[in-house]
Amino acid sequence: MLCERCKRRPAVNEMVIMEDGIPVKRKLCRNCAFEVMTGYVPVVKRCPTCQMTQNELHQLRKAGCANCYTVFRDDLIKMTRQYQQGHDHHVGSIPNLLRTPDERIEERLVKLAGELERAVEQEDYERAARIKKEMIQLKGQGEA
Amino acid sequence: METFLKHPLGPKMNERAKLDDLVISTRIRLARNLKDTVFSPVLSKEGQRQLCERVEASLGGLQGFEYLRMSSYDSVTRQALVEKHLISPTIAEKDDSAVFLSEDETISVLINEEDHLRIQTLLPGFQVTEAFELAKRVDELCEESLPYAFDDTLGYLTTCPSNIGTGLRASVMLHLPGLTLTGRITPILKELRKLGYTIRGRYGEGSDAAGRLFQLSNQRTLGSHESQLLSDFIEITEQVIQAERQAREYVLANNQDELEDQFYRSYGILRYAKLLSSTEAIERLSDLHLASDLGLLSDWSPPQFHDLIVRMQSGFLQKHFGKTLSTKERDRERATLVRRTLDQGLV
Repeated sequence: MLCERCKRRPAVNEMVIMEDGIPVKRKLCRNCAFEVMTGYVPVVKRCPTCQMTQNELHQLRKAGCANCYTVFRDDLIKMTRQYQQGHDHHVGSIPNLLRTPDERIEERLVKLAGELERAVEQEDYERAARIKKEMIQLKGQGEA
Repeated sequence: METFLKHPLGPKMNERAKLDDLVISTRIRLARNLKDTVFSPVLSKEGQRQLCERVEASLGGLQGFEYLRMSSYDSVTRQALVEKHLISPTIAEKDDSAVFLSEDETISVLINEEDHLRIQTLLPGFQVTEAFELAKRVDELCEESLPYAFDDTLGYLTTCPSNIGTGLRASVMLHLPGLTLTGRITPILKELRKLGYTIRGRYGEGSDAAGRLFQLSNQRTLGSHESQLLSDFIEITEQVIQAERQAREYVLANNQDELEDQFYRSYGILRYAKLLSSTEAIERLSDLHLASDLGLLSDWSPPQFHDLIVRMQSGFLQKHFGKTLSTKERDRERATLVRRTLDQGLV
């Protein structure tokens, strides 16, 4: 039988508890019995933006909003590592709005390097030369 | 919408492409969320509607795109779009979801998937870099008017941490009869999983590998630059292709009689059967496709194979006949369809 208070864990003992000022007999689990006897109320950690609780986050294994990644940062980073083969740092592209001009140049260079490799593979040397020229120009801008 | 359902393959998918005898199609998906809207697990129906409207207002002016609200279409129509891989099964099940579809059917922007936006590109054959560049261009366009949820350390924030960082998932649909026939597929699948790649049936999670068609995709989306993730993915796919070619050569050298026997049996069934289940049809068509790759069958092209496997799916069949069909009716119509196609195009 499930605990009549939390309705999640199995009930282990029967106790008389106060409900709206009236004493009633209830079958409770170990945690609820402890909370009733000691008057301890657990603090529920909740995201102020989407109202998701820490428990829900762990059950769903999904975030409720962008702010969850701040509120439950440790939990979500732990989950991220589990999903991402231990990785927890983004090294890929970032939105244009957040990028400095240098970063834009850097990203374009990475992209061009890939294109250059492909052009050489396909023996399209004219295109390779054009790409090379653009890379040299970009590098000049970066240094300036 | 009707134009999207007239043909099983979009104009682009009908074109021949690199390695299209083995790689049916390449798909790239970018997962994006907005920072000022709660994510799908807690987004109300009203919130979902508002998100559709907001994205529609931002991208509505895009030339060459059509905006489709799922609530306007019945389940058969949605299923047919899933069969064409233009939308995901998740979107098809939600009324308050929508998609921006490019006229050439290469780009879909899905709204209210597990993430607010899923930018997806689909190209025939093995075109990973091309599909990614297309997706990135759409991503940059969306970014101009929609504020993305982005974290300096974790990258693009997604509902599930399994997509976080780049939000990039690349996948290829592979036809691997050689590896399946020689039994080499099992250790390869195991090895791929160990290396952090997912390989599964044609319609993603939970679907089986009917017709020896497998979908290979990267699992990790964080910790490497997009270009690195893609080049690793290309390399691993090339290795699988190489193994498949070797397996085919082996079968052809050692079991040619059995192989030919199997082709002719399959051909006979496809040519004369009165009822065909989709599983049987796809297995038999896979034999024909392999026969053509090995030069045992002429007048058969990869797009033709792809066209038929989409055309004979139940959603597409029912859409074609404009009515709901029972399982038996579907099996009958499927057999007729395959028979007619073979009548027209083959020796």
